[in-house]
Amino acid sequence: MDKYILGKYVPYNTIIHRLDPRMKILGMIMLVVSVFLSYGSWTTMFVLSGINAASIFTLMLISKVRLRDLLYQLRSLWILILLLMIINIFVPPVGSIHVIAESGNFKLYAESFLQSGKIILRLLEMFGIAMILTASTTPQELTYGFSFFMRPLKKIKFPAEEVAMTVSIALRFIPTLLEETNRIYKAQSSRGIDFKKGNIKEKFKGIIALIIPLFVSSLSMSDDLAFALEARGYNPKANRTQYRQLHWKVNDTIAIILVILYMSMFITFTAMNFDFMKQSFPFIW
Amino acid sequence: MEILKLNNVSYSYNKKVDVLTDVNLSINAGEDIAIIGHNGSGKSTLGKLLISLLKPRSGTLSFNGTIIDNKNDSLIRAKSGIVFQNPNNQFIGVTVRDDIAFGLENKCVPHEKMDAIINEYASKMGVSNLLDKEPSTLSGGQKQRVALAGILAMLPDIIVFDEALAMLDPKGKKEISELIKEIKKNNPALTIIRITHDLDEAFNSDKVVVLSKGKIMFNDTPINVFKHVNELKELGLDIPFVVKLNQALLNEGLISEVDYNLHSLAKKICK
Amino acid sequence: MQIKFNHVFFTYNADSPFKVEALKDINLELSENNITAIVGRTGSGKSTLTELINKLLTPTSGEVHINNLVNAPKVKIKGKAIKEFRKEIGFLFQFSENQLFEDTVLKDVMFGVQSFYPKNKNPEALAKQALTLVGLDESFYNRSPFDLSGGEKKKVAIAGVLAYQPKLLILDEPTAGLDVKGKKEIMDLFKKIHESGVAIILVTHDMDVVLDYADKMIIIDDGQIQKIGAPKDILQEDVEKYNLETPNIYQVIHLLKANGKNISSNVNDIPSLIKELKHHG
Repeated sequence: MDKYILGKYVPYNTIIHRLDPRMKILGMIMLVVSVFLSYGSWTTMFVLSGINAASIFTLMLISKVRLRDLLYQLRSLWILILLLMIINIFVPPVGSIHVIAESGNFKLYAESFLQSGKIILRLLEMFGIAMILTASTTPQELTYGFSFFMRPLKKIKFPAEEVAMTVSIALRFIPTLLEETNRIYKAQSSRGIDFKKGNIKEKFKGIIALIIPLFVSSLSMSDDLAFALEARGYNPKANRTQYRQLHWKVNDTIAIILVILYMSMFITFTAMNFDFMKQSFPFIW
Repeated sequence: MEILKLNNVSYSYNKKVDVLTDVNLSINAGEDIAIIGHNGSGKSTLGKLLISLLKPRSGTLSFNGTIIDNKNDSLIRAKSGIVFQNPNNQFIGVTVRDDIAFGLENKCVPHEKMDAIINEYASKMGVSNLLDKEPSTLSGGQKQRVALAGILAMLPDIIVFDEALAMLDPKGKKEISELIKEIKKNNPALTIIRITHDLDEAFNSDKVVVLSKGKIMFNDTPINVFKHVNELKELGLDIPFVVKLNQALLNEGLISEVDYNLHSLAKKICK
Repeated sequence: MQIKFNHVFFTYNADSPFKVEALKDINLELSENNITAIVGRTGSGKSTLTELINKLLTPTSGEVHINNLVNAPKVKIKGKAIKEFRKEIGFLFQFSENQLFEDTVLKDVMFGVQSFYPKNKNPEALAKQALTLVGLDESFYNRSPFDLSGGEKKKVAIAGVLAYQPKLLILDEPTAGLDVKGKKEIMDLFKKIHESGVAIILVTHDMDVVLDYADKMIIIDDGQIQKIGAPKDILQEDVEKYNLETPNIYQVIHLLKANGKNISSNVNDIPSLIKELKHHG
């Protein structure tokens, strides 16, 4: 397990690591919006997507998320990408006009490839944003961040704190469960399951042999945990104080302003239906 | 002064087979008692009943003279802690700091006071340098230290060790048992209940309770309990090495009186 | 079985902030039909060493030879060849009672036979034989493994490994969490299995078990082999620097020697100590 998995916190101390989780959550949402806006023409779309990619890549450099790890995530998505390509070829995007090849009734449009490229690029950008967030923010901080935004929901009797506690415990147990999975994986491999090169039937059996013991040991783990929570005085209905307080700092304000400006720029382009090919820059010359 | 009392307590998980049957046990404040028994004897269940994590099916538990029920179990909850066998499953916080804070949060300690308390108990348990570590990066012994820091920060009167040493390596075992000794020395009023397989640990307690098939067979000082070699053997239990050695030496007339300290015993043998 | 480690290095997470060098230049031959104990503190590299033997891990550099198979970084495994490394080795992990997954005990025990020897005509016979060996009778065959007690589950797991008749058994902390009686029962069982011709590698923290059952012990510390020899000899020396416990009997002998008593090195339990004291007292 020497590759970072999506969602794993990586303990560096970069400027992005030090930002308030609330800022990072909001910032991430705004960046995702910027990525998913649509623009006037294909050229514009790709230029702006390129700007997005460059910005996200810069953020990755600052927060020390490696491009290699990002690409590693997409490795398992190649079937999806292939499927996407096929769908786009047979169901070309609306308004496709550039025919590359033709055979009988079937027309192959350039737009099919452009569309697939656009989706892959956006997927990549979105994964990049998610990785920056999770690699630079501890699960605990994320929970605090999310529960801050959920707080208004308490008015409608939504159990915001219990949900936050559950999420936090679930996050805390991910490494423990991974360890357990690894142990069972080794035990079952030793009993003759070839998880990597076995046939479908064997792989299916392997999954059963992994999941059932994992399920059994999670149950006993959760028994212990329930006792531990109770023994340490946890009562979901009672009041509790909170050790971690979030501190909004100057850096957070600066960062959020930058992200708002960034997103506004892209929204403006969309609203104007801006197109590099048709329009010159009125504000520049 | 009696701090805990079980009066005719029975317990069963599925209402068919009793895990514990008519258990009567009285524990005085400040006592260090060991509960031993074979696997499945009900000792772990007894430990949980004593601090009301499980409720008796019949019979009662009293804490400082008050009978504990579903409504007032927060009384004993606030004054007790338990260290479990598997150090992984009791770690709640994502970091050591957050884990120690967890109990304090439940106790509604104001957040600005928490750091001082966390630092104090972390330093007492020797985990100050680990405060920002995640549990999966700690050794078993370190995890048990963190568990203890979290419990001690709550200022308990009773701590139950539910086979807390069983999953540790020799170094961890030694570390934690020394630590328990030190904790006891600094808080003589603290009541310690050790559920254990470790006969040396049991031998060094004030009192040993032997459990078999849900019943208390012996409840006496270690020396008096471990006299019953044959009865214990029948229950699937052994006796500590030092007791065995003394008996063998005594039988052969190599010493004239028992001595449970290996150092002075060796001197006696050599005389 | 012929097992040979040749300049073996192993590093976890080589290219990341979590890098750990677990083994450093291990050279070792384990070929006799022994009970060999591998001991050392937590994180010393002893588990890594055993996992290299059945190719759960591949060395970072160096080679492990297992009979005529080679486990080395550049040797590619084709098709189902990985099973060749594993079919002659039974590996029991700590908490092996948690690896059961079939709906009956018998099916679970048959599982290993079926996956290593799909052409075997009678896996059931082998499974029954293994269950008898661990002391579980017919009444267990059709029970669900999840209804058994912890000790019985452990026995089912052991039977599941014995059923495919391995030549080597690797045991990771087999006695952890057991009471005195359970410990003796399970170790006596392994001794019986050993006497039927199966070599055993035992990873443990329990020096009393090592002294009572192992023919040979290997101390690993800091990723390197520190000592190899007979437990009786090694455990009489200072092993606490490797974070190992000196067995009680040797603690007494050390104290007696310190008080000027002469004790022969053959003494290894209370009866032999008493005998020695009476003869030379």
